[in-house]
Amino acid sequence: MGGTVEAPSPEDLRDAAFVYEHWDGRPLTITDSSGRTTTLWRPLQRIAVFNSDTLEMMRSIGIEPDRVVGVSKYPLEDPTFFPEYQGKANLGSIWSPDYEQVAGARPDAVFLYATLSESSCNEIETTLASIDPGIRIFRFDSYRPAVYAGEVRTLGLLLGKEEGAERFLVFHGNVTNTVAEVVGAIPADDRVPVYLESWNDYKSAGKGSGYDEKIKLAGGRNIFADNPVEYPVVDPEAVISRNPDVIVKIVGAGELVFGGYGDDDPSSFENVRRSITDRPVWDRIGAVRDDRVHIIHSDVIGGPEYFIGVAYMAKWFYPDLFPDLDPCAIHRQYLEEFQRLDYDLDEHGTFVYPA
Amino acid sequence: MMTDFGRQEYERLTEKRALFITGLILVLIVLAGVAVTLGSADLSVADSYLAIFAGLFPDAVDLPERMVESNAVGIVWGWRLHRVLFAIVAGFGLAIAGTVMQGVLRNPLASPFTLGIASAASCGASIAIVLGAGLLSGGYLIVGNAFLFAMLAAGAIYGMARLRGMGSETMILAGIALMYLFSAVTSLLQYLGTSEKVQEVVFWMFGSLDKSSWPKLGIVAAVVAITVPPLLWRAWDLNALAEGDETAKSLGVPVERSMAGFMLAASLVTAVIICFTGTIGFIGLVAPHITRMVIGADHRTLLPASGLVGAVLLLGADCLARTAIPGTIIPVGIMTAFLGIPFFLYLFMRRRDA
Amino acid sequence: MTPLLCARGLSFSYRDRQVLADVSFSLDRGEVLGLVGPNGSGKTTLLRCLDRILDPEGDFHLDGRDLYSMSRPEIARMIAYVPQNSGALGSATVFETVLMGRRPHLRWSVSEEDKLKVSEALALLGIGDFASRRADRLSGGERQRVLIARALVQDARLILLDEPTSALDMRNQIGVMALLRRLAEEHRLAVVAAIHDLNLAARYCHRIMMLKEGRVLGQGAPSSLLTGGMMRAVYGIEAVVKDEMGVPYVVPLRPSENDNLAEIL
Repeated sequence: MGGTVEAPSPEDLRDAAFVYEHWDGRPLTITDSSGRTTTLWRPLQRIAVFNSDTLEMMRSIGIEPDRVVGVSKYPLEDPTFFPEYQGKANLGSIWSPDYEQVAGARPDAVFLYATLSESSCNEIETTLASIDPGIRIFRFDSYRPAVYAGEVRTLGLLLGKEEGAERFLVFHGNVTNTVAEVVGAIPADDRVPVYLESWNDYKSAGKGSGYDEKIKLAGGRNIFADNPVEYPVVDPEAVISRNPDVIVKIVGAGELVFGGYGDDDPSSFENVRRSITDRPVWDRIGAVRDDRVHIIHSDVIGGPEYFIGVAYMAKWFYPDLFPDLDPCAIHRQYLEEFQRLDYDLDEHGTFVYPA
Repeated sequence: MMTDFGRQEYERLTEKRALFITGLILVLIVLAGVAVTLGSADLSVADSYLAIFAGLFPDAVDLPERMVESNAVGIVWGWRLHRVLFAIVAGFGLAIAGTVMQGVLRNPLASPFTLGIASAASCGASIAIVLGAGLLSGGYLIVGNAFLFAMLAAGAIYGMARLRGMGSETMILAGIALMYLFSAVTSLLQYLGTSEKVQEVVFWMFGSLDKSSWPKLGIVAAVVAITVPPLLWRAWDLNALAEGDETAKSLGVPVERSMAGFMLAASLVTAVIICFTGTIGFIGLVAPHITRMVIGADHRTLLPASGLVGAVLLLGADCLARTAIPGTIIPVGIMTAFLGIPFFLYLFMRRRDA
Repeated sequence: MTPLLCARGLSFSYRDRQVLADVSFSLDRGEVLGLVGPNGSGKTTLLRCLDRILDPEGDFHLDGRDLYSMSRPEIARMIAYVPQNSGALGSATVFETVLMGRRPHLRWSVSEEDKLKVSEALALLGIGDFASRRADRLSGGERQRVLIARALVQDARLILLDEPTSALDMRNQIGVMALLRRLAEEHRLAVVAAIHDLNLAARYCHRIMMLKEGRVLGQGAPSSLLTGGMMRAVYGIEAVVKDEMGVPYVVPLRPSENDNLAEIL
């Protein structure tokens, strides 16, 4: 007879059961959004999440807060939206990570961005490898429409939340497909010309930018889609001469940092709207004349909630084609069912104006 | 009696200077005339001018249908005209401030920013952008802070100079110290801020004329109109200062008071301009330098001529900034920075010949 | 007749060091006063005090008026100061540089009279030919003349000069000193010049004043002031004073020559 075998620990047993149940008893191979493939023999139990968008996506598919051991500073600064993560280790940010906190949290995996600040993320990866080569690195964006569904699925697989992922994708797909179908039927010439302005005056979205993509998804035609600069400062006269039918103004950052989950007062939105319609000669623009100037908060148009923003925009661009689309209800369902937040959208938060 | 030595040449020199100024005024008018026709709205050259005229004398002009429809008058008066005028006034002001600084500090490479004014304004703007804290609120948050901090810097220079003696070296030393202080604070704020805020700060520091408007033009023009004539009146003092404090005193210049007055006036003009536009560089350095090379250092003509050169440079740079990429406006401060390149190359080349 | 210039008890200290102590003298129109003394004896400081570039104790009356109660522009109309000819001048023309001297009389524009005075000053100093040359392209002698011309056009009653001959060759030294004497006598100006070279001072100044460590050791006609004893007291050297047609000149002796003094003489 041979020597003794140590009895497996409770964690080992739990993880083995997991592997048996979710991965058919075999190691799992995952390809993340940067194209890297990793093989796992055990599920991830201690995840350090630098990307707060990914954190939100993980919540949508039902991640248990205990499995997240560290978050970046932004969720910690937002107790309204991330109440259950308030006690987690503060990892800093992509641009100034706190390696001691990361090491102290003893993660088995770290989630970083795939296409945002790649050099900073690369540096974090290299440094972590030297601290503890056993840490797995995964890169997800969680804010790009093109890869959104794929990432949800990958995360579901990675975290053993395939069911939650599918359920969420049904919800997400419902919204995006409804919009896509209707919008797909509109001929290119009939698409509504749109001027989008971010929180800086006259800063629009040009070719290849995220906002440009979202306008397209909502069926609009960005009047500056041909501009080679990603976020160009445009000539106000150009907006007049290109005469958009709808104007979308984004607030929530820069000088216009108000609104969102923590702010219940729509009066600042009203001021922004008025300042746009008051611009000289802009009353000649179709959008201003027909009262189709809309303000939207960056929370629902950037990040993982983008599809809610797209729904709002679709409804603004083609109100007749989307009589039953209710973006507010979609938002409510997202918060209650998938984000598991006890947040009353009727009483709190300002995201769009006019409501 | 042959006591005519040099008089003819001096009179010729005076004529040459007058001619130069006249020429500059003409160039400026032509350039302004071109500038008001530039823009993304579809207005012909003739329409642009007609629109200006119609704005001034609405009853005298019968506008063609297409212009009423396109609201050409509104476009020219609402967007273009004040921006063109702002470029002229700002360029004029910055150039004159630079001339005064070069005279007071006895350094042809000084600029309105040598004493730390620009760093201070940037710091004030950063505080407004990153921390949201400031003197005035709303749309004037950044403007108010930038102006306040710029004048604080000017006041600090004045205070330090009074303590240690109002010499040009003292002022430059104090200016460098302030520059480091304010830059450090700005950097700290950039470090602490989110990436969007940092980008905004950087953008502000480029300098642009995008936020020009009639009220802002009025404020800047008023300050320039009040500050510049006294400077011109005291041009001889600037001439005397060029020879050194001792000589200036012996020629009757109240040196301490003069230097303080000049420095504060130049700082005021600079502050009121850059609080609206951000830090537009090089105009205050290049314009007086070029002008001095052409017409010499008599400030009675150097001041107005520099101002005109500055106006031409800034207006020209802005025209380029508006038309380089159609539909997009590049910050004018970037254009003026590019201006600096051929200028310094030229200086460098001249060095080698001498 | 009261003298044009009357200084009494001028004292100046700088950072606890007494640079000038109780300097008194008077000067009349048409007189050239030479300030002589070793380095650091306070000559430059005295000149600066006279022009009120520095503020001393004591009083100083010019043409009956108390200088220290006058405004700077008023002082500039009465006193012209020619600083040490050290660095280069600016890049303006000679004409414009000299024109600067009219500043105390100018409001803003330059009148015909101003231009005339400049021309005359240039002619007087013999630099009329390069009126249009750039001031930073002059030789030492030419530069000195420009500075003097500038002081002249100030129409001042008193001209102060700090070492006007230090950077010049012998010919120019003589030329400048002769010129100063002529200006004083013909134009009835008072001139005070700090001069390094004792012999030059002795020859061209009506009176000289000897300073040492901020104090006046003596003043008077050169022949009476310049003695071997004075040389020993002020400069600490052995010298013998000779006489050349009424003008004294000082010959410093080498130590070993002392013994042979009697034979030489």
